[in-house]
Amino acid sequence: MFSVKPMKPTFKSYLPPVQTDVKKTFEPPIKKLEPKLLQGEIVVNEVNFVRKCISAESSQDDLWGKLICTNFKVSFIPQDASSKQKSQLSHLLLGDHDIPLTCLEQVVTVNDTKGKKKVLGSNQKLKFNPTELILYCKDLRIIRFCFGEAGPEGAKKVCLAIAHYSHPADLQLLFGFEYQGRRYHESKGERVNGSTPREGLRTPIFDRPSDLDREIKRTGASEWRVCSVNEGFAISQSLPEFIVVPVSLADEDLKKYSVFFTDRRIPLWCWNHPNGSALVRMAVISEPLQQRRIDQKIFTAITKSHPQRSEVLRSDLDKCLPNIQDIQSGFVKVRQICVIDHFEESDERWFSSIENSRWLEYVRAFLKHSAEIVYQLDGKNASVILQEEEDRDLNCVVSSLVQLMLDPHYRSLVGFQSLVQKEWVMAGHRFLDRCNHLKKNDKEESPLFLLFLDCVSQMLSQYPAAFEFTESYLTVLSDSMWIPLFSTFLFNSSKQQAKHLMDFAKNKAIPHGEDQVVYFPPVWDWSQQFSPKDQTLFNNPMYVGKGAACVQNGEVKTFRRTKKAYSHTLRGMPASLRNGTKVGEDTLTRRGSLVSELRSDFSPVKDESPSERFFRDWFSRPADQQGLLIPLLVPSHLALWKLYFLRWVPEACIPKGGPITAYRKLSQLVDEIEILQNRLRQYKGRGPGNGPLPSPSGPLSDQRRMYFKASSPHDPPSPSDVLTSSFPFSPTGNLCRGGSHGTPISKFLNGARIWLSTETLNDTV
Amino acid sequence: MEKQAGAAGAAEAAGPNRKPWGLPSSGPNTGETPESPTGSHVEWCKQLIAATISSQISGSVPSDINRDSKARRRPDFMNLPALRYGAQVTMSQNQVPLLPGETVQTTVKDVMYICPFSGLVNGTLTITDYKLYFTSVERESPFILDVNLGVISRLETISVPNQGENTKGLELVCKDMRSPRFAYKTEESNPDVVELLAKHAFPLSHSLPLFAFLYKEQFPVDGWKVYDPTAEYRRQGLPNESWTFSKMNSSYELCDTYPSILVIPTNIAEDDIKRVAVFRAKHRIPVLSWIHPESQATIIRCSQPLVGPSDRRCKEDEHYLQIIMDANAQSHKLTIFDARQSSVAVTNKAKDGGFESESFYPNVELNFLEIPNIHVMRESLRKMKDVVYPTIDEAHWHSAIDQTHWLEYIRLLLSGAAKVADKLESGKSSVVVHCSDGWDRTAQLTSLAMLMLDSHYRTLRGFQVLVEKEWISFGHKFAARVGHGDENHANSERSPLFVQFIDCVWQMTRQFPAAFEFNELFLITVLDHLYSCLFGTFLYNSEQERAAKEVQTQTVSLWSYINSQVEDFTNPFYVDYEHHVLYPLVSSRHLELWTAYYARWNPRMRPQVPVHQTLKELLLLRGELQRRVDELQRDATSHSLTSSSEHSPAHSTPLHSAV
Repeated sequence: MFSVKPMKPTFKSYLPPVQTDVKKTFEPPIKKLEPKLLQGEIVVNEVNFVRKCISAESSQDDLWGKLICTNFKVSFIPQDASSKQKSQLSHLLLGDHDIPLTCLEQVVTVNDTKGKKKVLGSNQKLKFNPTELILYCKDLRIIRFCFGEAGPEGAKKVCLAIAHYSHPADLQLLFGFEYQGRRYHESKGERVNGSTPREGLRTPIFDRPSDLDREIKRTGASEWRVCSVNEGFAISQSLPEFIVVPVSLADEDLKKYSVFFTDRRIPLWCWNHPNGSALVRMAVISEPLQQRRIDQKIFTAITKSHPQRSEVLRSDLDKCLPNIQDIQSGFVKVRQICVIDHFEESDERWFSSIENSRWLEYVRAFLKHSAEIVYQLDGKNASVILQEEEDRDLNCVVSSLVQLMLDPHYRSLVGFQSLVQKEWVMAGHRFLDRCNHLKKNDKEESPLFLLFLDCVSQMLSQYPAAFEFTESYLTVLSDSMWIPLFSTFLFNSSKQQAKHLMDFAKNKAIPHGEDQVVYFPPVWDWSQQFSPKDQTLFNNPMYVGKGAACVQNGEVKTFRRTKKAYSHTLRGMPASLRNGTKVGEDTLTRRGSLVSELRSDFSPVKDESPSERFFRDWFSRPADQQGLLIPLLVPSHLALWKLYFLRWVPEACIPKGGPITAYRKLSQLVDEIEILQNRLRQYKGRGPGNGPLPSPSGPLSDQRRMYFKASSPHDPPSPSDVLTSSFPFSPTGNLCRGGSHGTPISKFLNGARIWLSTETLNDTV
Repeated sequence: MEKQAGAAGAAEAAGPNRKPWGLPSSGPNTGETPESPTGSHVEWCKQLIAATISSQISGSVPSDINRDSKARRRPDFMNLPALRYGAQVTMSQNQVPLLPGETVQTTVKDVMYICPFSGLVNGTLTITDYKLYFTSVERESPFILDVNLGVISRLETISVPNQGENTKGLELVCKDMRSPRFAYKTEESNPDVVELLAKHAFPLSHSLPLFAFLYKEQFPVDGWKVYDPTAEYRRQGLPNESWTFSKMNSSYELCDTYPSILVIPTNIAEDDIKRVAVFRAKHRIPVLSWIHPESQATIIRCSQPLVGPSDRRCKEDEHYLQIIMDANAQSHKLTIFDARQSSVAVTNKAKDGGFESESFYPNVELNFLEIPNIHVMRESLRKMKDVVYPTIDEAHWHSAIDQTHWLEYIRLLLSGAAKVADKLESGKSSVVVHCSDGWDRTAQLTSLAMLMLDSHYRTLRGFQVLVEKEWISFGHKFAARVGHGDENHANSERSPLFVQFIDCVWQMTRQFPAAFEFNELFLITVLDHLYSCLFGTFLYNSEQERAAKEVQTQTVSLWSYINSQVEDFTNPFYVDYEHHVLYPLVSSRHLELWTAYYARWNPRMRPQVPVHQTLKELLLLRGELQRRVDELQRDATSHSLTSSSEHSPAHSTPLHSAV
C-alpha cells in the first residue's frame, strides 16, 4: 500500500519531462526537414528556424523547426523528431503539427517590438516584418509561431502565403479536388479486381432510389413512394434528385405545386413511425394567395398516407427556435469563454458566463422542440410537417434529432451516418456557406451541424448505452468538416455537388459514368483518416443495441430485436394513456419530466396538458435503450460539451482523469467478454474428444472491437499517464493564447477583439 | 459518454423495498412503484445475459426478449446478492416497516401531504421514535414518504387556505435540502402531531435518548473495528526514529478535544509539550497526521497560536516547530498553511489568537488560504437550498449557482488542499495546517490533501479510516455543527463543513472516475447518516465525550452497515491508482453542482440509468462466460487423453486492477 512512488506528477506540469541536453548533442545541428506531402500536394512557401510556442508561461518547451505552407495545409516540422507533442489519435493525412488551410479561422501577424498586429486576408500586403504568427483554427485550436531567428522576409512570405491560400477564390481550388483526382488515377489498378469503395461503404448515400426504397421498407411507410420528378434537378436546385412523397400525389401535381414553394422545395418525407405517422419537412409557400390551397392539398395527401388517416400538424421552426445568426453569436461567445479568455479570470463567473453565451440555451431549445415533435408523432399519432423558410437549416437539426429519439437504428454508427447523409447532405444543408470554407461571406456562417452534434452528445451522456458511437467519434466528425478532402461537407446542395464533381471528372479525365462516391468519397470511409485501431475509439463499449454481440448456438451473432419487440416499445402502452385521458394519478414523476411549470402547492394535477402527461408518463417508466428516448431538459442535465470545447485548453486538462478512465475499464471488460465468447464458440464447435483443444488466445488483435484491450500478464503496464480528460486529443502545443509574459501585445491579444470577423457579425445582427 | 451520477437512481435501489433499515430518508418517489428505473434496467440487462447464456446451455435459439414479461421469473443464477438483512425488519400493524428497536408513537389518518410537484396526496401519517412515515393508497400505486426525524432542522406551522378551519399546516424544514409540508385536521381525539414530532426529532431537548441508543440491529461486521489508530500509524511506517506514539493524552488530560493517541516528535520533553499546549488554542498542539513514505515530509495539524495583541512568544512552540522541520531531512523549510483569510487571522490577535510570525519562527513560510468561516458556508448552503428546492429557475440556473458561491468555496478548499499536497509531494517540505481551533477547515484540508496523496484513503475502508481519524477522533464538533437531536436550529455553531468535505470528495470522484473504490451512493449514504442519528459514528463532539457515553458499546457504527454489503457501495470502475498522487483540476470548468445530492428531492432532476450499472452487468456476464469456458475446458480435458497440451484458464482482469 505504502511504497515508493515512481510517478511524480504535479498539478502544474502536464507536459512530459523536459528532454535532457545530452540527447540533443547527438543530433546533427541542422537536419533536412521535409514535409510529408499527399498526392498532388505542393510546397508553396517555407521558412526555417521558426519557434512553435508550446506553453504561454515559458519558452523552454518550445519547438524549433520549419514552417511550411502547402496548397493543403500549414505544416511545422520540428528539428527534434522526438516531439513532445503527440496525439493519441494519429491522423493518416495530417501530422500532429499540421493544420488544413480550410481549418483556419483567422491568420494574425504580430510585430512584438513595434506593437503592431494585422489580421491577414487574401492578397493583402504586410507593412511590417512579423515576429509572430497566430493561427486561430475552426476546431478551436490556437497555434503560435515566433520568427525571432528566422529571416524577416521569409517569415513575411510564409505568412502572406498562408493567408492567401486559406482564402481560395473558388471551390475547385480546395485541395480535395486535386487530391482525389490524383488518388483516383493512382489507385485505379487496385480497384479492378477488388470491390469498389461504394460496396465497402456501409453507409447509404441516398443519391439513388434504392437507398430510399430500403428506408421506406424499413420504416413500413407503405403509402409513400420514391419520386424522380427532380431528376436532373428539373424542379428544385437544392432538393436531391430522388425524394419520397405520398403515393396519392402524382408527379404532375408535384410539379404544379412546386412553383409556390421557396426554391421549389416540395415537401420531403423524412421518416415513418411504426404507428403510421410520418415526419415531413418543407419550405414555406412563397405565394400567400396560394398558401391555403396548397397546404390543403399537401395535408390531404399526407393524411391519406396515414393508415388511420390521422391529422397532420405543422411546426413552424422559424417562429420558435433561435435563428442561424443567434446560433453563430452563441457559438462565438462560448468559444471566447472556453479558449480565448484568460483562464483564471473567466473561471470566476464561469456558470454565469456560460449562461450569458446562450449556447446551452440553444442546445436545450432544439432538444426540447424535437421532443415536442416526438410527442406529436408518438403520443398523438399525428403526422408532422416541419416548416422553415428554406427548409435547409433548422429543419435539418430538428428532423434528425426527432429521428434519433424515435428510431434506435439511427443510434447505430451506420444509422447515424445515414441520418446525416439523408437529413443534412442530401436535404441541401448549405455546408459550404455555413462552414464558410471560402471565407467569402461571414454572415452566412453558422455552426448548425456542430449544434446538432452537441445535442447528440447531450443525449449520449444521458443515455450512454443507447448509442453505438462515442463522444470521440462526434468530435472527430466535427473536425472532419475542416478537412476539404471529402465530399460530405463541401457543398451547398446535391446539385452543386453533382455539377462540381462532373466538372472535376472532366478535368481529371475520369471516365463518364464513374460513380461519384468512388472518385470523390464521403467522410464515412473512416479508413481514409484513421487506422483500424484508432477507429475502435468510435466504439462505445456500453452499447446494448442490436450490434452488440451475443452467442447463439455457439456462434457469435448480433442481437436482433424483432420488429414485434420494436413496435411494442413504441405502441405498447395502453391506448387510454396515449390519448392522455386516463383518470387519476397513477404515478408521480419519478425520473424527471418535461412539465414546464411547477404548480402551486395546492392545485392537484388536473390541468396537465396531454403532452406534459406524455412526457411524465414516459419518464416514470424505465428507459428502453432500444426504444424511444427523450432527453432530460433540466438545465443541470445539459452541460457544456467538455471534450469538444475544452480539449485543447492545457489548464483544463485533468491528468490521469476524465471520463476516459472509466471508458478504458469498460472497454477492457467488453474485450475480455468477447475473447471468452470466442473461446466458448471454439469449444462448442468441437465435439467432445475430437480435434485439438483450441488455443486459449483470442481473436487477432486487429479484429478486436475495443480500443483498450483486456490485459494479459505479458503486457507491459498500461501507460495510464496518456489518459487525460482531453483524450484522445492533447492540449500540448494546440492552444497558446498569451504572448511571452507581460508584453503589452500579449495583453492586447488576450482580449475579446481577436475574432474580428465574427464580432462584426454580432454588431450587425 | 460518461454521466456517472446515478446516485438517486442507485439510492432508490437501496430504498425501503430492498433494505428496509437502509437509507433513513426516502424521497416521495421511493415507494411509488416497486421497480425503480435502475432496477428495471438491471432486469433488461439480465434478460440479455440470460438469453445469451441459456442459448449456450441448451443450444436452442433464445426466445425473443420481450420487455413486457420483465423477467418476473428471472433465472436463479442471475440473482444479484441483495436483501441479505432485509428479514430483520418487522412490520407494524399499519404496514409501517420498523427497525429493530423502533416503536410507533402515533398514527394519524386523513393527513394531506402537500407535494410541491404534484399537488395534494391524502393518506396516513405514522410517527415513530425514528421516522415519519406517510402512506397513501389514494392513487393506483401506493405512495410513500419516509423522512427520518434526525434530518429535521425545525418545525414550522404554515397556513393552509381553503381546507377548512380546523386544518393546520406543518412544514418540516430539513437539513438535507428539502421541506416537506403536510396539512392535517386538529381534533380533540388526535394527539398533537407537532408536539410528538418535536419530542422525537429533538430528543436531547426533551431529555430523551438519541435513537442510535435504541437501535438494535445486528450486523455481521463490526464497524467500530475499522479504525485502530496505532494500526493506521503503523501502516504509515510509524513510529520511527523521529516520531513516537505519545500517551500524554491517554485520558484526555492534555487536550480534551484530541484523541488519546498522538504522534509527536521523539526528542521533546513532556514539560515542553505542556507549555506548547498552553500556547495553542484549546491546547490543540501540533501533531503528526500523515507522513510521506519516501521524503518523510509530514502533515502536521494544530490550532492557532495564542499570540494575542502583544505578539506573545513561546520558545517551546518555536523549538517544537523547529524539531518538526528537522525531522524531515529533505527540506530546511517548514510551510504553515493558515486556512483563514489573512484579515481574519489578524483580527484574531485582538481576541488573543493569531498566527506564527515568520520572524520568530526561522525558516518558516506562512501562507493564508483565504477560506471564509463556518458562518459564510452555512449561508452559502442556505442559498443553495433556495436554488434547488422546490422549484428551479431554468432560465437562470447557472447564474443562480454562481450567486450561492458554494462552488467557489469548494474550489478554495480543493485548491488549498492541493497546495498542501503539492508542498509535500513536490516541495518535499513538511506542512503545518491550522485555522482558529483546528477542527473545521483544518480537518477539511488535511483529509483532502491525504486523499490526494495516499491511495489507501481512496479505498472503501481507507476512506472510513480517514473520516474516523481526521474528523471524528480529532474532534470535529459534529454535535455542534449538525445539531443532533437539538431543537435550537438557529444556533450559530451549526455549519455544513462535513457536507462541504464530502462534496469535495465527490468532485474528485467525478474527475477521476476510476480512482476511488467507493461510489456516489456511499457518499450520499454517509451524508444521510450524518443527520439520521441512527448510527453512533457522527455523534458527539470529541473522542472523550464518545467514550463517556459509551458510544461504541451502546450504538451501531455506520461502517457496520456499509461494510456488511460493500458491493452496493463499490465503484465498479475502480482501478487502483496505487502510487499516484491525484490532483483534482481546481477550476470552475470541472466543478459541478452535485445535483444527485442537493437536488435529489426534485423528481425532475433525476439522472438516467447510471453508467456503472452497465458495468456491473458486464461483470456478471464475464463471470458467467468464464464459468462456461472453464467447464467446457474441464470436459474437453477429461475427454482427451492427450495430456500434452496445457491450458491455463484465460487470464482475467482482476476486478480491481492496478494501474
